[in-house]
Amino acid sequence: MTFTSDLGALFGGVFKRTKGSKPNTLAEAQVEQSYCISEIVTSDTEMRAFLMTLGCYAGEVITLVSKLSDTYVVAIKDARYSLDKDLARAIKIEA
Amino acid sequence: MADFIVIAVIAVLISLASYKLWRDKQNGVKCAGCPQAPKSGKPSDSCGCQIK
Amino acid sequence: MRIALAGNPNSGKTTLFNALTGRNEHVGNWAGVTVSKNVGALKSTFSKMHATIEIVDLPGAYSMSPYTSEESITRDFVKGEKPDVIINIVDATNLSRSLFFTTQLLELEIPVVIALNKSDLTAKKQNQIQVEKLSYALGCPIVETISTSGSNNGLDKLIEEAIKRQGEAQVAPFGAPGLSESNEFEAHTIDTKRYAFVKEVVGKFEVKAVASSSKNRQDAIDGVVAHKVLGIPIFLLVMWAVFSISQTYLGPFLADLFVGWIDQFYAFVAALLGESVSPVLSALLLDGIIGGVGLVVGFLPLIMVLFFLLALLEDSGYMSRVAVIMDRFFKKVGLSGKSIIPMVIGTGCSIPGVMATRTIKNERQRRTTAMLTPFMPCGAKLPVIALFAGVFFDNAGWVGTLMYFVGIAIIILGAFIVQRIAGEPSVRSYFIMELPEYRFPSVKRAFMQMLMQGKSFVVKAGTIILICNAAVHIMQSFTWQFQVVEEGLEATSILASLANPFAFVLIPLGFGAWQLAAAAITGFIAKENVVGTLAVVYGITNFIDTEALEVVSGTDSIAAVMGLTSVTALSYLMFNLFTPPCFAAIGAMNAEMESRAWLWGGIAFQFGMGYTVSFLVYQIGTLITTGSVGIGFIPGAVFVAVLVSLVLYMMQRNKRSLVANQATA
Repeated sequence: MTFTSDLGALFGGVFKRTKGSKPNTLAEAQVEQSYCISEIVTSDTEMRAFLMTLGCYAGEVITLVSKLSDTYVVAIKDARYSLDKDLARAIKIEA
Repeated sequence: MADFIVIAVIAVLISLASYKLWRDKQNGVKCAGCPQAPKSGKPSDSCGCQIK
Repeated sequence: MRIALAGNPNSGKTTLFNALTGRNEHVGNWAGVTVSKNVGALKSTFSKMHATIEIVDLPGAYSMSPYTSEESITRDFVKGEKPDVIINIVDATNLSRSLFFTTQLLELEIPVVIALNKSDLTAKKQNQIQVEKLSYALGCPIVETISTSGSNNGLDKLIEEAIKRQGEAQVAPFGAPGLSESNEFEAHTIDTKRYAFVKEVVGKFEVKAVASSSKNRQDAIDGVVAHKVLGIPIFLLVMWAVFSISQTYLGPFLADLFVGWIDQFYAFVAALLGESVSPVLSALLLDGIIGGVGLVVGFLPLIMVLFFLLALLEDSGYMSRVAVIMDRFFKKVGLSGKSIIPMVIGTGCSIPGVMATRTIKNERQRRTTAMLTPFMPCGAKLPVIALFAGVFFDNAGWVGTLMYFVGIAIIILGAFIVQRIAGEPSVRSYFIMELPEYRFPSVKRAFMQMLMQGKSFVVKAGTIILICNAAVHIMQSFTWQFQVVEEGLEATSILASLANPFAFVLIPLGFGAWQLAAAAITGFIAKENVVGTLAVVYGITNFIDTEALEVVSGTDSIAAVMGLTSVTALSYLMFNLFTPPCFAAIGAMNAEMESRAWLWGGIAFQFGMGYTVSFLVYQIGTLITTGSVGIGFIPGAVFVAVLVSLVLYMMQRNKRSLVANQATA
C-alpha cells in the first residue's frame, strides 16, 4: 500500500514540476503578462518607498513587457522601467 | 612708439579677459569662461556649466 | 515674483524653462538631466508686468520624499524657499503616475498651475483628457502646453494663469486626516490612498486609445538595442561613429577652413607690426596671444561637431538604454548601469558629468563614478589628442579611438580597485531606470546647443587661455633678473626654472623636459592650455597652415622641435589625458565626494594612474622599438611598484576587515 502511494506521490510530484510552477516573483513571470503585486520583499526601506512613488506597491498591476538577459522591462502606470534581476526577485506577484 | 601701442593692446586684452573672469566668479560660475551664470547667488548649487 | 517649475523627471521642465527665459540650459531625453536648480528671468514678451518674474527650474522628482540627492533639491526649495506660484509640469502621456506628485504639491498651500505638457503626443496617440473636469477635481487651473513647440504652445496662457494665481489660496483635493507622514506604516497608507485618489480621477477623465502596457514598436527597438549580444556592439558602433565624424571626417574638414582664417589674421597682424616693434613684444602678441589662442580655437569645429552629435544622441532617448546595456558589465566591478551616463556626459565636459552622479543612490558607487568620470577624454582634451595625432601619427583615426578605449579600461580597473578597497559585497544596490519614449532628435535643438557650446569654448579661449598663454610667454621670455632670455639659453627663463623640478619627476615617463612639464602643469587650469603652452614654448605658431594638420614637412619639424618620438609622444599624450582633470573639475568632484578622504584618494588615484600608464607606455614602447628600456627605468619602476603595493595593501586590509566583520556578525 505504502509503496504504491509513495510511487503515486512521486509521479504526481514529477507531473507538477513538469507542468511549470506558478511564478512567485517578477523574475519568474511570463513575458507580455500582467500581474498583481502582492508584496515588495526587501530590507531596503528607501527603495520600497521609491517604488511606491512610481506606483509599484502591493495591490497594483505590473506588466512584464520583455526580458533581455538579466534585465526586466516592466510597465507600471503608463511608464516603462528597466529593473535588474535582484529587484525583480524582490517584487512578489500573485499569479 | 609702436611698442607702446602693442603694450596697450595686450593690456586691454588681458584686462578684458580678467574682467570677464572676475564677473563670472561673482556670479558663482565655476567653469572658467562659462557663459551661463546662475543668478541665484548660490554658487554651491549650480555650476551653470553649459559645456556638456 | 518667483515661479517654481516642479514635476516628474523628463516631463519637459527645462525645455519650458528655456522657452520662458530664453536661456539654453542642458536638456536631454532621459530622467536625471537637470541635477541642480536653474534660475532665470521671464522674457518680457510673456509678461506685461513691470516687476521681474523669476523662474526657477528644479530637478525632476517623483515625490516629496527624495530618493536621490537631486530630488531633495526640489523638496528643499519648494518647502524652504516658498515660491509664489508653482507650475507643475505634468507629462500628459502619464497622468496616472504624475498626479501622485501633483497631489503632494497641492498640499503645500502654495498656488499651483498645472502645465499639461506633451499634449501633442496625447493627440497623436489619440488619448483624450477632459481637462476642465480634471481641473475642477484637482482644484487648480490646467493649461495644455507643448514646450518643444516654438509657437502655439500654450505658454502665454500658462504665464497668464500663474500671474493670476499669485496670492490666492490653494486647497488640497486629497486629504488623509489622522495619519502622519513620519510613521513609515502610516506614510505607506497615505500614499496608497493618494494613488487610489489619482486612479479615481484619471479613470473618470482620461480615455486611452491603446493600453500603455501592451508591447509596441518602441519595445521592439529596445529588443534590438538592449539585446544581450547585440547591445554592446551597437553602442560601440554609435560612439565610434560620433567620434570619427567629429575627429576624422567632418570635424577636421571644417577645421581646415577655420584655421586658414586664423592664419590670415596672424599674417595680417604680423605685417602691421613689421619691424618697428621690439621682438619681445611682437612675439608676445603674435606667438603668445594670437598664435597660442589661435591654435586652440582652431580645434573649435571638431568640438562643435562632437557636441552636435552628442546632443542628437541625448535627445533620442537612447541614453537610458545605454545604462541598461552597461548594467550587466558594470555590476561586475561594483557599479551599476547608471554610472555610464555621467561618463557619456563627461565626453563633453567632466564637470556636468561629475554633477550627474547625483542620480546614483549608493554612496560608494556615486563617489567612485565621480572619481572615474574624468578618465573619459573631455572636450577640452580633444585639441590635445588632435594635435598629437596630427603631428606624430599622421592624423590617424586610431589615436583618438585608442584614448577612449584606454579611458574605459582605466575606468573598469579603477571601479574594480575601489570596490576591493572600500566595498562591502553584502550591500545590495538595485538598478532601476525609467525608459522614456524614443523620439526623432531635433536637429534644431542640437544645433542651438552646439552654437552655445561653441560660444562657451571661444569665451574660455579668449579669457583663461589667453591669460595663461600670455603669462607663460612672459615667463618664458624673461629671466628672474627681468632680462630678455637669449637665443639658445631658454633654460634660464623663469618658466624653465619653475618647471624643472617637475620635469625631473617626469623623466622615467620619457618627457623630462621643462617645456613639456610646464605645458602639463598649465593643463590643470584648462586642458586646452597644454596645446596653448606647447605652442608658446616651442614657437610652433608657423604650424598654423592652411594644410593644418597634414603637412608632412611642418609636422616633421614640430616633432623635431619638441624632441619627442612617437613613443614618448604617445606617453605624454596619455599622461595629460589620464591625470587629474582641470581645477574646475576637481572642484566639482569635491562637491560630490563630500569627504576629504575620498577627494584626495581620488586625486591620488588619478595621478597614480596617469603616471603608471605613461610609464608603461614609454618603457615598454621603447623596449619594443629600440630593444632596451628608456631613461629612468629603475626609479620609475620603483615608484610604480610602491603605488601598486599600496593599492594591494589597501585591498587586503579591506578584505580582512570584511572577514572579521562577518565573523563577529
